[in-house]
Amino acid sequence: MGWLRAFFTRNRTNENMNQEMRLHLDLLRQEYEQAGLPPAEALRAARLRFGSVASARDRCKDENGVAAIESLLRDFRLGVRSLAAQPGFSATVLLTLALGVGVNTAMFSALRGILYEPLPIPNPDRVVNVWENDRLRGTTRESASYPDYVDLRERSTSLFEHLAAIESSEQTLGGRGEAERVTAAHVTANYFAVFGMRPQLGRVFGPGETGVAVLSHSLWQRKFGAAPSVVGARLVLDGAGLTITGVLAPEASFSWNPREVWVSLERPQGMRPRGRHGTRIAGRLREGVPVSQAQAGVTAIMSHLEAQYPAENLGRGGVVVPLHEDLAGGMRPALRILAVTVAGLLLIACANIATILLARASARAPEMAVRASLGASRTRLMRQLLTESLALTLAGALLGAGVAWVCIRLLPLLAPEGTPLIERVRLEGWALLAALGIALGAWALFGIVPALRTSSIAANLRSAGRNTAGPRSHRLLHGLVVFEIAVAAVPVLAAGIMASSFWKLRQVDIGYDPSRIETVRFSLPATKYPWPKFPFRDWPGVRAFHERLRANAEALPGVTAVSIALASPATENLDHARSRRGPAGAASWGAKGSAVPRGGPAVLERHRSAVAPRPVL
Amino acid sequence: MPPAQKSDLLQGTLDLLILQVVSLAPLHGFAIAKRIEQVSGDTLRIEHGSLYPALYRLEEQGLLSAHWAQTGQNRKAKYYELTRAGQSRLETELDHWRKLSTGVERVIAKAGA
Repeated sequence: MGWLRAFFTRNRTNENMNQEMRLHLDLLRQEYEQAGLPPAEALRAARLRFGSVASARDRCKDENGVAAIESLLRDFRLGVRSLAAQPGFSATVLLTLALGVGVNTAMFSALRGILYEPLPIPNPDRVVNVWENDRLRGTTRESASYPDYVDLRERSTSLFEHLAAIESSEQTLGGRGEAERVTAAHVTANYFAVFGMRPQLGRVFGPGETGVAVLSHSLWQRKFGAAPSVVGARLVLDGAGLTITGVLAPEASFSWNPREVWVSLERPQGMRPRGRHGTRIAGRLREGVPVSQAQAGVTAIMSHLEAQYPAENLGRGGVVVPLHEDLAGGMRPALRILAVTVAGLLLIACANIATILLARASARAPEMAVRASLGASRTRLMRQLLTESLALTLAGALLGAGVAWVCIRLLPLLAPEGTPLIERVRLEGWALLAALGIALGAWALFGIVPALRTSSIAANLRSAGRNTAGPRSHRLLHGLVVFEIAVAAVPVLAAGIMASSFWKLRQVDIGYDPSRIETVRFSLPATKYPWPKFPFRDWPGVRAFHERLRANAEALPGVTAVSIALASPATENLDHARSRRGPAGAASWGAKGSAVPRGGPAVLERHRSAVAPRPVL
Repeated sequence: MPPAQKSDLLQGTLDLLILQVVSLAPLHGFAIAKRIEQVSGDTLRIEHGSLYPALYRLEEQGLLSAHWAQTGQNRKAKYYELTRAGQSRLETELDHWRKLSTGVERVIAKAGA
C-alpha cells in the first residue's frame, strides 16, 4: 500500500524534501563562508558540492513511489483533457459503452431474478404443482376435481411429503367496517407445510378443523389494525362466520400467490362430483424424489382413476410441474433470445469503440510523433494512450451502471402485465461486474492495439505530418467491420422473426371485433346463490340474477347486445368453457357481424362474466 | 544524472557508510555527509545531493527511521536513525564488506609479491 500512502502524502513529502535540501545547501554555504569565501563564491561552491538539486529530488521520488503516482496522475489529467478536447468522440464512445454495459447488466439481472434465483421458500425445488390434462381435448394444464385430489393424495404418500388442495376465489369480507373484496383460498391444512408458510401470531389450522381461517400479514394490518387480539376473533367471509386461528408472517406473502385469507378446506369424499374441476393441487416432494419419479407415479394413479371412473375421467391424466418452472418457465425462451441479443449488442458496442479508437489512433500519429521527438519514450506514450482509453472505459462502465439502474426501475412498468416474479429483479452486482469485465477486456483488446501502433509510428517519427495509417490498420479495420456485421445480423434476424410472429398474432381472426366489447367480471356469494347439483341444469337463483342483469345492462345507452359467459373467447379459460359445455345463453359475440365462435358462451360455473358490446365512439 | 558506472559503484558502499555513521547517533543529511568525509580523512568525497536518494531508499526499506527536530542553530532538520532492521542489515553488510575487502586485499598482496 506504499503507493496509496505516496498518493495521499505526496504534497507534504515534496515540501519536506525541499526543506531538507535547502537546509543542507545553507549549511554548506555557511561552511564555505566560515572558511573565508565571499558570500557569492560560497553559494556557488555549495551548489557545486551538492550537485543537481532537481536530479536529487527526482531520484528521491523514484525511491518513495511519488514519481509513479505523479506520472499516473499526469497521464490521467492529460487523458481527460484530450478527451474533453474531442467531445464528439468521447460522447460517442461513452454512450455506446454505457448502453452496452447497462442493458446487459439489466438483462442478466432480470434473467436471474425471474429464472434462476430460488424462490423464497424452504427447499423450493421440492415444491411442485400437480395439474390434470385431457388428452381427448388436448389441454395441458387444468385444475383437478376434488375427488381426484383425494385419491391422488391417498395413493401418492410415497412421493409427496404433503399434497395440498387449493380452491381460490374472490370473496366478500364483511362484518368489519366497509365490506371488501379479498382474494381468498380454501386450502387443506397441509398447504402451509407445502410452502413453508409460518404464522407470526397464533397458529395455522390443522387437519380436521372446520370454520377456521388464517389471515395474511397485510390484511391483518389493514383490516384489523394489527391487533394481537385477532386470534380467536370472528370473521365473516361471503356470509359465513369463521374463527381466526392465526396471522401469517410477512415473508409468507408471495407475489405469485397474492391471497389474503386462507380458509380450511375440509370436505368429506363424495361431496363434490368428480366431473367438476376447480381444485388446484400443490405438493412438496419427499426428500430425494425427483420430479420424473413423481410424474410417473401421478400418471399411474391417474390411469387407474380413468379405468375406475370412465364416465368422468376418460382421457384425463396428471402433470407434475416444479413451482418455479410453472411460474416462469414460459418466459424462458423469450428471455434467452433477449439475453443473446443484448450480449450481441455489447459485442457490437465494443467493436464500434475499437473502430473509433483505431481511426483516432491514426489521426493522432502526428501528435505522438511530436511528443516522441520532445523526448517521450515509447512506454511513456503507450502508458498515456492506455490511461486515456482506460479512463474512457471506466467512465463508460460507471455510466452503464446508471443505465442498468434506470432500466431495472423501468422494467416493471415496461414488461407485459403479469410477467411473473418481475418484482424480484434488482441490480445484480455480479452482472455489473461481468459487464465491466467485458468492457475491460474490450479495453485491453481494443485499447492496446491502437496504442501499440500509435506509439510505434510515433517512435519511428516517419509518418509525422503524413497522417497515413498503413495497410495493417486497414486490415484490422476491415476485420472489425466484418465482425460487427456478423454480430449485428443475429439481433436483426431475431427482431425480424419476433416482429413477424407478432404480426401473425395480430392477424389471427378471433371471430369478433374486440375493439367494441367491454367485459365485466363478477361473482356471486355462494351462501346466497348455492352451488347447483351436477350437471348444473337446475340453477334458478343464478339464472334469475343473470336475466335481471342482462335486461338492465341492455337498457344502458350505447349497449347493443349483452352476453353472460363463463369465459370470454380467446382467453385462457375458453378452452375449458367451450369443450365442457354445449352452446347456451345468448351468443351475441357476433353482434358486430363476425362469426360466432364454435361452442360460444357457456353456462356459468365458477367464473361468471358479463360481456356487453357497445359501439365505439 | 552522474555517469551510471560511478553511481553503481558507489551504491552499495554508500548505503553501508550511511548505516554505519547513523548507528552511533541520529543525524541529519548534512551531518551525515560531513561525518563520512571527516572520518574517512577526506578520502571519501561524495556528491552531497546523491546522499538523499540513498536516504529515501533506506527509509522506504525500513532500515532508517526519520523525524523532524531542531538543530543546534535552531533550524528544523530531518534526523535519520537506525531501526532494528537497519541494525541487523548493518551487521550483515559489515560482514560482507570485511570478507570482500580481505579478499581484494589478498589478491592485491599476491599480485604485488
